[in-house]
Amino acid sequence: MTAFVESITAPHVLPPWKADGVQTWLFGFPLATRAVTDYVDTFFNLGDKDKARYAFEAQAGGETLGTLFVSTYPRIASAYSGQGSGRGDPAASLCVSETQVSVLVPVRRYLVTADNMKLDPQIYFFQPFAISDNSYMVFANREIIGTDVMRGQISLRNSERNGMTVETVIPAIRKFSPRSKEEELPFLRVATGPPREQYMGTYPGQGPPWAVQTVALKQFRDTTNLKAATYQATVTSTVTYRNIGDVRSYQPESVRLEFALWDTVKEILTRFLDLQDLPDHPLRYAVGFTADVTLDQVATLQTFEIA
Amino acid sequence: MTHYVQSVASQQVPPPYHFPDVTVNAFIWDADMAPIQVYCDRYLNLGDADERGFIYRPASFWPYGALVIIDYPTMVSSDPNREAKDIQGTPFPDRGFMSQREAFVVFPLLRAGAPLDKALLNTMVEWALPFITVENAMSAICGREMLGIPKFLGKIDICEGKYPDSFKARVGIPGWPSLQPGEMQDPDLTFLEVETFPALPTFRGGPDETSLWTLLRSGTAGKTIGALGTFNEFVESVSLGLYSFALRTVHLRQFRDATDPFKALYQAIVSCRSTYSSIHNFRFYNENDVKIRFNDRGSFSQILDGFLGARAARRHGQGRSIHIPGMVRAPRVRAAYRFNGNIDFDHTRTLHAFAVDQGDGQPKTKTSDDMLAPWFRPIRGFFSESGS
Repeated sequence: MTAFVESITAPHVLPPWKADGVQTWLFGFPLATRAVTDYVDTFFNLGDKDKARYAFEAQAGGETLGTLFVSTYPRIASAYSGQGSGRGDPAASLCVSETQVSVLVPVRRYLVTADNMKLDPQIYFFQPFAISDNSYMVFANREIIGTDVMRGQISLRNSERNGMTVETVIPAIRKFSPRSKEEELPFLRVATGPPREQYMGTYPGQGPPWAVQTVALKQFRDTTNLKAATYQATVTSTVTYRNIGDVRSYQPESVRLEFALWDTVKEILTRFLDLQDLPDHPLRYAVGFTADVTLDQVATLQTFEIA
Repeated sequence: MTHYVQSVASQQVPPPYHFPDVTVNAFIWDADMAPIQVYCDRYLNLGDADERGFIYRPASFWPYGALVIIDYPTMVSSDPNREAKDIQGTPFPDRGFMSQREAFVVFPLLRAGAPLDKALLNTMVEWALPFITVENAMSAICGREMLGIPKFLGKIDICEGKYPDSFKARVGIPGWPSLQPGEMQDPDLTFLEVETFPALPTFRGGPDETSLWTLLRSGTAGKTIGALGTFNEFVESVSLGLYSFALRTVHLRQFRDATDPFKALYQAIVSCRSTYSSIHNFRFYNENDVKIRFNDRGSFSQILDGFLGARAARRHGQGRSIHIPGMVRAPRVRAAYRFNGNIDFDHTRTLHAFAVDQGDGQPKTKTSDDMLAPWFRPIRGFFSESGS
């Protein structure tokens, strides 16, 4: 086994990660299934279909429920305990903080047999986009797991009286043209009303953990021919929420979900969202809670052959 | 060919790039060979010397390192064939441009072919970047993922200092003030500060009789330096790249395994070229008045060890720069100057892919080698049995 040459100038927070007291908000919204099918075919159903060990499909029906996650991690520690680390105790790790905004979309993953039978369906979530305000987490997510995380600025305000507001800013171009300059532009704004009183804190704090299995395409370009890939693989990981408490529910109709439709933003959204539906996009649910979160079980599901 | 699947969320813009009218401020100091040799052995001389066919060493004929701070008002994709396109089919040069600032430390390396039969054909001077910070997130991502350049994403403030026509800069990057367990990262910790007096000639600052500038103070000499930019392009062409002021940098590009991030999936030495042209407004600073202060606390000490080494540490109390022992390292500056010009970034190549042992009984990955010196490339066919 060849060891990765650790570099002090190549910062990585190695998974698994552990963070306590994470505040999370979830906003469910419908997506067109055809957009999800297009996405999984482009990013996950790669290579020779006869050699594919797994197949990804959108959920059945004409609509898929996507979820916008907004999470603030006050303290993330690496719990990596592998060879050469000399670590494993999150309390002994150097720590980072992060606020992340991302969309998760569920898909079904099948095991494909030699007879082309599709067995063992499991639900995985992919992230068509994610924004993080911490560059170390951006690099670790992108380079180790393959999650397509962008660096942005995220400001979040939360109060019982006024609800939660999150605003994101990313480097973007207003209108694609040779004379257009990239600027720091608003991307997404979410504002809730105050939480509904009858739901506040009623979830039992010691309830069962809630786990989300994610999948991402990890890939790197060939340096000489930059249109070609030198490595492609699907990578999975599991995000587990434990000790869920302080649950708040918001009236979906009171939540305003607004995208600033610069050309860069349109480009991101068109892959998984029908922009025609956006002005009156109905939210299906809006909740918030506090939990202890781990990201672990990072594994390579399938490495694609490079021709 | 297996196509790279262009991302929807963060579109990487592949090289080549054109950076017109950049402002470069450069500060040269005595380099310690020991940390540079450690750098070569750790990141470039991997595996067995005979198997890989080359050895990187410090270029002892040029024992200097440099801090370079560049302001890029325009960064644009310059693919002449317009083949690189976004997911909607627009060529990247037509989407727009970016701007940013960049700060890096660079020192020269001599790549010697080994064994003897490769000594002539594979030997050339290349440059290592033990530290680089950029302001633009996409620049950081493209550099790291496409070329293996270990870029930090940070904040670079550039302005005039106390006096008109002087230079002042601060570079902040995420870091940890101490290495105590549980220490929280500071997202904008000062890594370095630079300040000069006005560009020469000036009545301000210390005496300039010992400055390098005194050798070049005549108007003719100043114009000659400006003309060198154009001359270099000509010289590089006629010398087939043997003699060049273009900066060919080398980096170890490697990917971690997702399941065990301690394990490498891929390791290769990658090279790219930055060519400077249309150089003008070349001005010296009095190096005796230049103050460079590196923050020597917490996680930054390890970064500084990588290119300043113990020699700089011994200089605490000896240099002319401001210093606080245990908190700041201040290298002794030998020359300092600034100029404007254009930079073209191209010739990205995988010089050598190492055979990676993937474990679990899997075969090692294939090696590849493209180490031939540029001067030999056009005439290699005359010496090859197959003519290829």
